[in-house]
Amino acid sequence: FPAMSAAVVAAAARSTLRPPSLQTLLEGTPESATVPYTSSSGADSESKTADKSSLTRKLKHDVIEGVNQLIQEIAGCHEQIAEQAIEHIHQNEVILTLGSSRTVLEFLCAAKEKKRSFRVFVAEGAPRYQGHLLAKELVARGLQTTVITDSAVFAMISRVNMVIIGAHAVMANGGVIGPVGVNMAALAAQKHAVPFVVLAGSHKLCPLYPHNPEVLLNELRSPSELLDFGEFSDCLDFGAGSGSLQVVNPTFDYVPPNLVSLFITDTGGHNPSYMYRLIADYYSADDLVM
Amino acid sequence: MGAQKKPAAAKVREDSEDLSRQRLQAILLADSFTTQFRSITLERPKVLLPIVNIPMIDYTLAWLESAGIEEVFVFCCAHSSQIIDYLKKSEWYTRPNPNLLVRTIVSHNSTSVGDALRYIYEQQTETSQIQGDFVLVSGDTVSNMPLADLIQQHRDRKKKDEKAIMTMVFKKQSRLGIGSDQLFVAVDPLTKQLLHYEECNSRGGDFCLDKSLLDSTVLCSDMQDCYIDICSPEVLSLFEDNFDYQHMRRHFVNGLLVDDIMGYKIFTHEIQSSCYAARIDNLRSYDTVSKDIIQRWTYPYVPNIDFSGNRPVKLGRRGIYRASDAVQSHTADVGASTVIGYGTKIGNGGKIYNSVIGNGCCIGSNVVIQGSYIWNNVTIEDGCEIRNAIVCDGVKVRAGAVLQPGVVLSFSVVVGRDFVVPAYSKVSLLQQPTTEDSDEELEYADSSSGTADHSSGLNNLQIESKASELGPDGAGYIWEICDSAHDEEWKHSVVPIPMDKLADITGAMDDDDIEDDIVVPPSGELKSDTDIINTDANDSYGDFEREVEEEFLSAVEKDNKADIVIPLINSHRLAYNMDSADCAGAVFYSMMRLAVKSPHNSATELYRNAMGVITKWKGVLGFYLKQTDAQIEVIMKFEEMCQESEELSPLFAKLLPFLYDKDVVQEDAILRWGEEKAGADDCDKVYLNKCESFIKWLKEASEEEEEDS
Repeated sequence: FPAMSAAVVAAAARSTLRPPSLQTLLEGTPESATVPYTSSSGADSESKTADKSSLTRKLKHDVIEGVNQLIQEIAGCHEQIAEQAIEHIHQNEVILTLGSSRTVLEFLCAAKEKKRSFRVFVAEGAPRYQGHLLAKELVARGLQTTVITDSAVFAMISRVNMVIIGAHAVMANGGVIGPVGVNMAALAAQKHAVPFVVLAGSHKLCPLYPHNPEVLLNELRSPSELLDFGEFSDCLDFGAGSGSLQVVNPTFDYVPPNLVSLFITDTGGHNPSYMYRLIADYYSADDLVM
Repeated sequence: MGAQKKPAAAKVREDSEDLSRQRLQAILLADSFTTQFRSITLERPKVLLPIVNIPMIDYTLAWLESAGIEEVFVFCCAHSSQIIDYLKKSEWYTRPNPNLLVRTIVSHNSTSVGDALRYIYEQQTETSQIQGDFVLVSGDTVSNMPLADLIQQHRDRKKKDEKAIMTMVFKKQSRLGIGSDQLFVAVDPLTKQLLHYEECNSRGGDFCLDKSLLDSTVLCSDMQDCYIDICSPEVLSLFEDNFDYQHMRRHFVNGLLVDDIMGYKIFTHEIQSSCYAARIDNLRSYDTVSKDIIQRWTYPYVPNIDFSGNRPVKLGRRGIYRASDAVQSHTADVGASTVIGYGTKIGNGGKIYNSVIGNGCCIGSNVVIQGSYIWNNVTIEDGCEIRNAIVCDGVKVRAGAVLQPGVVLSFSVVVGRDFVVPAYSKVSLLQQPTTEDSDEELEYADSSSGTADHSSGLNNLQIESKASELGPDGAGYIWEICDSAHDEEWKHSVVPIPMDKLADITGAMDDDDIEDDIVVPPSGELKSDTDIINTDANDSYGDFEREVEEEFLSAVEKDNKADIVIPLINSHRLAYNMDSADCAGAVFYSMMRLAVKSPHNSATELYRNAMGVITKWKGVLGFYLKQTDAQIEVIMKFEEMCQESEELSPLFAKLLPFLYDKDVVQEDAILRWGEEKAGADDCDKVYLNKCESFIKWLKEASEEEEEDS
């Protein structure tokens, strides 16, 4: 009986209770120490080659199962979130959204189907102007829509009943990574005590805690979305001598958890402070450091 | 069963059609056939030089891959073994993308793009061949533009018009930062066909257009050629047929535009403003493109994203890219737009702004690095100052050294303690190659240095610790800049353009802007096509003068008679369209030069030499001096020469009467010259004053003659 360290024993115990993480399965080779715990204990009696082939078959099976589960979750989350729309959107309300999110589109349309009448303000979401696309879609489905610029959000917020946005990712502390501009909408909403609702499928949950998210979790794209390459070329050309112009074009914004009122996921509505609990359900213990 | 199979078979045929139709190929020229980076490219091929710490060829290959190209032929000539080794070790071969196949083609004696394309055409085999339209790029292109649409557009156009064999990509911008000559382009705005293409060396160049082209033309002078071409296979066969086509633009494009027989057409595509494309063909564009990459214009080919297997560095605030294991002292000040590579250490009190530092560098305390490009494994000791310089791999800069703006230090150079490297100097461990090729610009001196490239000997070279050109413990040679290039050094360097030159250029550019985008009306106000291109008059006169001098000197050697020399000089005169006054001036100039060059120890001997030459060759000179104007021209030319040369000036006063005696110059000419000069400033009248007595005598003599007759 080989001596085992306490950590290995704890890992073994954890993994028998929960299914193995997909990442561990893919990284681990049949010869590694973790796999024997997942396969049956009768493996010792089998020959080595048969052992390996049965392990690889089981590994393949586990991986395919895991991936299929993910696909199902992602495909089904819009519907499940949209089912909850009727509880949150009431008659004659004014909703504000920013950018374009398929989840938000389905959410609003579900409420429309259930015969709620409401108006939607769509902030255009510069510089990519995804809000224009969302507005077209909403109008096609029969909703009364108004497109406003991002800078007009604070002016309109007093007339809005609820802000609903989609998320790119939800962090372990309940913070939200969304399209650039949502932080501004969240701050405006807080100032006027307007509920700020975030729609996120459970696959968007991320086990990381955000440190310096504006820089580390952001993606700075090409300045060509803001400025034409030829313009301002005289300011951009010269180096330290005569102050040069820098153009920053972030794709994402971070909203701290205290600004978010409610998360609507496919499992229901949650507080931001509850989101860390969901991580344990969706992530294997091997994959996170808590 | 049969019914089932039929649609399947039809589908298969369609698919194979699709396949053969859509296989996208590209030719990547990994040799630029120029010598702009000469001091560095003697040891390493240009496409492997790092820009923002990643070799240039990686940018090009990553872009071609993302554009959907399926097969890339990398043509290597200079340092081909280095390129092939690099590709083999890189991700392109070790973890290949199944959609992209990278092949290398090696040639050892190609000297231009034309040679390269001919070689590729000949080397096609059954398995590797150019089928259909291909993309032709150079290995130093950095771009993020999507190509699929452009290729489809080209193909559609080719289907409609068999003669549309090439599409060139242009970018509209008025940037000074590329360092190349200005381009004049005439494009038909409806069909986007290219009608005229000309590179302009001087700012004041004129060019002429064929009148028939003037129906609808847009003239642009702010376009920049990206050197990205979509070519049809006819391009390769055209190069094969015309074996004197060397340069892609100067010969091939201009040849096609001028040639009416075959009627091939070239079309243009203007890149959208949201895309980026640039070529690094000299040091100034190296600087500009580096800055563009740091400012993320080339997204997604930026330092913090992993493309083509590079190690991404993290992007922090203010545009500072820092590798995760870079060690930086707390008191070091790293400014905006800087990149710090892996394993680099920066000591106390350093100030680093707007620079790129490579991997494994060791930078000491109190170092100032500004606007510079430091490559890998460089050691910079305490107290150094490096401004606007390029420092290649393995260089050691000893304490207190100063690199002035524009310096280029090649591989493994050592700069001695407290040594100041003068501005714009290129330093290398290798001696400057002595054979300067004038017409052909080659990236390597000759083929033998190409094979000796990997220079294992160079790596083992004992760094000489005795005094060298670079200070007491330095190693390396400072290359001399030849005179003609010296004034132009600021153009092709990483130093920001000096303020005075900038004012000149922007001033001139503002004038040009007024003439931009003129749509010429059908009435045709431009010059007719019978005018010859009017180049700068001085340049051609200088050439003419030189040719006449050569002619004259060979005549002196062979001791020819005047009547043999005169027709030879006449032929030059016709070639350059000069008149007899110019001829006379040139001949006189050659004669005087001969006199000065002949050995003489004193002024009197020089005088005797001059007299001898003039006596001997006055027949030739006299032939061109039949008119008074020509004679005045000669006198003025003589004056010019005396001004330039110290030796000749005292002779002016003595030679003028001599010329008069020998009937080379008539008194009318001398008197008229005297009159004209009388009105000039004092500094011009120097020689007039010297000849005053002679002129007075002439006047009296002429009066006497008049009195007599």
